[in-house]
Amino acid sequence: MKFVGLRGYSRYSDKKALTLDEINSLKNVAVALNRVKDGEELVEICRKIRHIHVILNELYAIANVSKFKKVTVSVGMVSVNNLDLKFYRELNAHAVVIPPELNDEVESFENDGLKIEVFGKAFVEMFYKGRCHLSAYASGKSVKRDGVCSMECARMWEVLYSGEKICETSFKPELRIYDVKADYIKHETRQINGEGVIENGINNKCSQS
Amino acid sequence: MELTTNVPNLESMSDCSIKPYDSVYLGMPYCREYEGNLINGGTDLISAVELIHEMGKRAYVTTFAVPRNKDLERVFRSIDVAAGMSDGIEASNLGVIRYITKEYPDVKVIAGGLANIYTASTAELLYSIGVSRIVPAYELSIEDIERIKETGVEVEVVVHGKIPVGIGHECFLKKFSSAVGKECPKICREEMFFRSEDLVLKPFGHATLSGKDVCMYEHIEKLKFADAFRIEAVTERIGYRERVGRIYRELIEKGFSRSDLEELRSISENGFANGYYFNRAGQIYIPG
Repeated sequence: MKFVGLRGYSRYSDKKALTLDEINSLKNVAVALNRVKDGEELVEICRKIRHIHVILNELYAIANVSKFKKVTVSVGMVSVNNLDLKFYRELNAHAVVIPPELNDEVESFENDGLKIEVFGKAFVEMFYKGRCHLSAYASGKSVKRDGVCSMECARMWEVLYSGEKICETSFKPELRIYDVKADYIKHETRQINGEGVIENGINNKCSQS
Repeated sequence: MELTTNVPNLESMSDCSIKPYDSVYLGMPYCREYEGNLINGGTDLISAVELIHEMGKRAYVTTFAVPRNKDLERVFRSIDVAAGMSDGIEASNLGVIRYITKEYPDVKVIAGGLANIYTASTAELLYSIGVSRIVPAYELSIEDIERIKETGVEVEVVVHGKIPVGIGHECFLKKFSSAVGKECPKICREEMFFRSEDLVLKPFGHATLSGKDVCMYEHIEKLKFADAFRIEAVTERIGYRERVGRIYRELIEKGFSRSDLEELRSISENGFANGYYFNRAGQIYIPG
């Protein structure tokens, strides 16, 4: 199964995302609408998508689109325990994506009919995917709302202790490959392009990209 | 208007630091291992709630923001204690929120800022299942928060203090233990910052906070529609909670004071920001 992004509704890249007409002309795809928007708007756009499977990142939309489509709960919802899974079962979701940081405890999840999706290949980042406001804090570009990440985490940071610099560090996303079993295995490719991963963030003078 | 703050442990709960507030959130949501953390329940939590009630104030109990399966037993225990004696429970994990609304339907449930509630539609759904109050996602503008308020749910906003810019699966401080010469949990008592050019962050447990203090002192009128104002002080040094609380109490009751604004400025290590209230980068500050 391939996920394709709907332009204006998916995270990270409107350049790569497809229009509604382009998506509806494809066969056998699932559609990512994982940008946070008003729930009613998401429900309406999902009605116009002819494919049966979508990925969503907003609670109202998950609850209501699940009435007429297969809904995968995006990793952006940060489902980290069995209570989360129980809630999404109650909302009739089809599947839940577990953050890659939890891959070694996937067996502890009680899915009870809900499908579990994990990352076989993923960029592990400074924060849980879906719990990062750093881009918006630094530059006003919100990953959750605008689908744009300015990669501030990848800067070189001075670590200050009692006002003095003690070392430097970076939180550049790290590509990891996992041997993990679940109902669905996802391979993340969003941050790989012709230029590679942005080195120090687009707002940093030292950026290599 | 309810003025709220948060305290991580009993040790941080002096009478004078709590005095300016109407209610207090008990516990540090960013790390379970924090010394004396009230989110872990036990006799400390019972004592803290009793102390707050003796002062005639409301006590809300906070839960760990990102509990994994291995953490759930501890979460259940502290919720059970809190449900019996506190005035409400704050949770930022949607599964935990749903658990409380189902198992303890009479308890006031507060969805915390890290629950990532961005839309009025999500707020409406949570309100319909028993959530009483929402701290909207930190990235929201005043207009977006007003839309959430229109659903009927109570809204609490941060008016001062450091807001989280993210939360992760590992501690951001432990990796510097050898450089600092302090192990967990002592290293959390040390003041550390990450700095890169103009950007400053404060690592704390699993979270990293804004290095600047969000300050809405000059813009408080624009947030008057909210039900509660929060002073974020859970990671702050001694004295911060008391001084900031006193200044905002004066602001609510007597109005603006230039000298109080200057005092707030002197307390802040890295200056002010407005967060996302004005639809700009969170670290920008617009004077009133």
